[in-house]
Amino acid sequence: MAINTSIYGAPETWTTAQYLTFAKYANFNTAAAPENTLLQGSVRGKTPTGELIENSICTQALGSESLYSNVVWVHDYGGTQYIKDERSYTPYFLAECVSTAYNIQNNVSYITPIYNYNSWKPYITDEAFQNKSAYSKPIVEYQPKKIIYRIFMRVCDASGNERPDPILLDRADLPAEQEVLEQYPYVASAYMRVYVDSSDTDTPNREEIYNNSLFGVCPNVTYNAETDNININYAFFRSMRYSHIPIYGCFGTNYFHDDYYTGCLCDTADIVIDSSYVSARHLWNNDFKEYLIKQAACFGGFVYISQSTGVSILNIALDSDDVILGLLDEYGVGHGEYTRGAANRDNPIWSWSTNRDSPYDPYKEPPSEKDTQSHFNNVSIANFNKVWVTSYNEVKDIIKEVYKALRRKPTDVQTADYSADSFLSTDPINGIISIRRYPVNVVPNDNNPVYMTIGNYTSDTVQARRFINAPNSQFIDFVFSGNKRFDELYNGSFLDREPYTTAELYIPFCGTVPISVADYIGHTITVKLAIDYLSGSCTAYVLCDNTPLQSANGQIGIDVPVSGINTATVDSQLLNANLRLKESQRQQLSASTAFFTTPFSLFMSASGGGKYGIASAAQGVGSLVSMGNNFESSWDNREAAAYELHHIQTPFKSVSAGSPLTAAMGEHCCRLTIYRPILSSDYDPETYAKTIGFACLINGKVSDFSGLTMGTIDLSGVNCSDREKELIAAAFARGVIL
Amino acid sequence: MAFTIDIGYTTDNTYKVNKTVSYIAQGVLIHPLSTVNQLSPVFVVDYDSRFLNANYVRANFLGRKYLCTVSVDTAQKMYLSCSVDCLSSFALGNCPITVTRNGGIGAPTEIPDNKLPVIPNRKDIDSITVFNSSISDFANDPRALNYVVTTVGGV
Repeated sequence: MAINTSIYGAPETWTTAQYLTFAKYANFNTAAAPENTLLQGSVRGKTPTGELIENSICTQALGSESLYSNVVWVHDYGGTQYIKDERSYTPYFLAECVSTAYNIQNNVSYITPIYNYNSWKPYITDEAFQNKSAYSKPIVEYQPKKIIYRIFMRVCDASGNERPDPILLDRADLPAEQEVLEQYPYVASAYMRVYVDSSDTDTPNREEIYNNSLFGVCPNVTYNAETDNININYAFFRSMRYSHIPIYGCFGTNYFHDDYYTGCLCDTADIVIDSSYVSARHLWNNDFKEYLIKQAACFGGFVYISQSTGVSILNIALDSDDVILGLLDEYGVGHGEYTRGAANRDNPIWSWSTNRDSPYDPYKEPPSEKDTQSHFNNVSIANFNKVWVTSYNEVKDIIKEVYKALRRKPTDVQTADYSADSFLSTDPINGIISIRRYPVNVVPNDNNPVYMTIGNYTSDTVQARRFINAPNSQFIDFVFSGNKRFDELYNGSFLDREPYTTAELYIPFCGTVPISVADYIGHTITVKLAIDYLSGSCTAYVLCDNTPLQSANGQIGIDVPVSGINTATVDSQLLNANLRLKESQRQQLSASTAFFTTPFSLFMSASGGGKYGIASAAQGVGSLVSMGNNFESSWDNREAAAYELHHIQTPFKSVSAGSPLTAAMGEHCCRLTIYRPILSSDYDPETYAKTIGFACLINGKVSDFSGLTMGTIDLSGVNCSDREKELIAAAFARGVIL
Repeated sequence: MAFTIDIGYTTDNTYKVNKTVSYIAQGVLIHPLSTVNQLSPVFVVDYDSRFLNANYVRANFLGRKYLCTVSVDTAQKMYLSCSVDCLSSFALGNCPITVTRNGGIGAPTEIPDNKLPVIPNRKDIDSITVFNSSISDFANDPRALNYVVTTVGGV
């Protein structure tokens, strides 16, 4: 591999490490560094931040299977922001730092997520570089066999109470550790520590690198205040206090490599490795153990994973069954595959004399015809309404306010159309275009709560977060992704293929997707679920390794229908009811006036009217009775009108349960269901092999086979009679024993 | 050239190539007959009780090996009725072959095998959680930010 000597210097300038005698460093910033070296920062060339670190120091890359290629950043730049980064691979290299400057970290006041003193000069400011007692050096050359990783795990109970001491993955099967795991069954975080062998003999004599650290990959975040954007560059490893390379869980930025940080406190974490488990701890089991081992294997190094042989990591042989060795592909990228035990000797890394034998070249693109990587895009669309991220309580409060606007006092008949003016609709509830509940926590682009608005109406009590803070924004996001290997049960035989074996994949909210066994078996199935937060729809992408093969659509947003009534109708009803009330009041007034004046006129008629007067009075009594009836009737009318007035109200619909709601009750994990054939209990492979033989189609020579063999033989060159050739051919056709 | 045969027995299957033979007697003189069929000869030898269990003959003068059955007459003669063992008589190791069934493989291959005793209409169902998603954390906490409300625009 070519070395960029303008940055890393010529090999003769490299120095042997103080603590890692098998490694050589580029001579950057020690006191002995000559003029015009990187000690002076800009004199020697810099690799611009964000540009790929080339293979002067990069030994390999971590593939998309590595959680380092799927990091989520959580940072508080005026509101918590989440940034997901997905990449096909992440460059990786080793460096060493001496962290005596640990205690002066507070000298740095600007935004920087890590101890700058320990960072490599090209990526830090001069201010942070003043402390010469600390340094970090990228390792330009080392022997892979001298380094072995060990996996540590932080565990906790269901309440998040963390065990003070980590436990070792290689000890997890031991009874003592299993007792611990019963009490603390969740893995909150995991990281690797480095053990090195500085001896020159073939017999390992390792020690743990502790205060002087080898360190790993870390994203480099830049914040642009003008555009309010945060960018992630995986430009350089960050330093640390100990030799930790996190491989799972949540880590604070400033403690990225510090095991004192409790991985349980994801709410305050800055870095979340593995976005599938953003706030979750994973239950310890064998599958998760394998998951962690594969994460470690992505680094393409030796990892101590068990103590079955009883040999300590300090002395374990690298071809022991307790040791795995990560496999790299032809491009030097680790995908989590590994060899174990004696097979480690067949792993190409075993034969590397130094890391410089790696085929990795970050600028070497895979051939286009072999482009099996998925290419997902960010999508921004224009939206002229307002989209809010709220809680149930906030939704409830804003709906209350809207209905409050509908509520009228009986005499409160509006002449101006208050609803149309405020809510841009005669029906205030129309100002709310949609309410959808999602079975995930929705992450707003702007986390600052502001008073909610509906049209021209601004609530003075209900606050919510705007989904976006720009006209064009992304409403579509992947809410989860994860993968699982679809393993063969019958050694990849026809029994592992259709029609004998069939499979289907259940994807939450999208239903069940038939899986072509031939396409996926022996590969890793990845599912990514994209949500359109505006429509509530979702699309699941099913990837075979990194190649998208299938997709399925579904509905994840639970529609919460809220209907009202046109306020014009309400106002009209209020107006009419008021008019009817007033009419009945007038009728009642008229009736009561007549009722109280009639007895007087009746008396007058009776006293002065003779028989006609009596008759008139008798008629008047009838009229009085009638008036009494009118009075009662008008009273009833008034009561009815008042009742009607007070009982005009908006008809409410209850929240209806659509299919997404029922789906929300369902299983939330993707589930691969495999239907495998069952062999007869009488089937005995040994007997079957001797008497029937296994179907195959193999070309070769007779001497290549053993046991019962059936096939077509070519007897040309055999010196025997035709009859004998017929007999031989017939015997092979029926089956012979070789 | 003396017409002699080697007489022995084998317990191997008749269709085994290169059988393992235990020879009882070698260089046994045969009584000449006028003709000897190369594929199915009959050899006449003096009675020897050891040959009663013989089932295999090697006749170098014919360049072949034979499977045989033994019969005895009253004149103290034994008749070995043979049929050629062409699987063991000739070197077949270098012969090209396309094998369609083989027991040495030890397990089913990718080639469908309709003789394998698969139980019809029965399946072993294996259900694997591909991964737990963040949806697993779906909480009914009324303060959780899981509602998206779209309202009309305005000032």
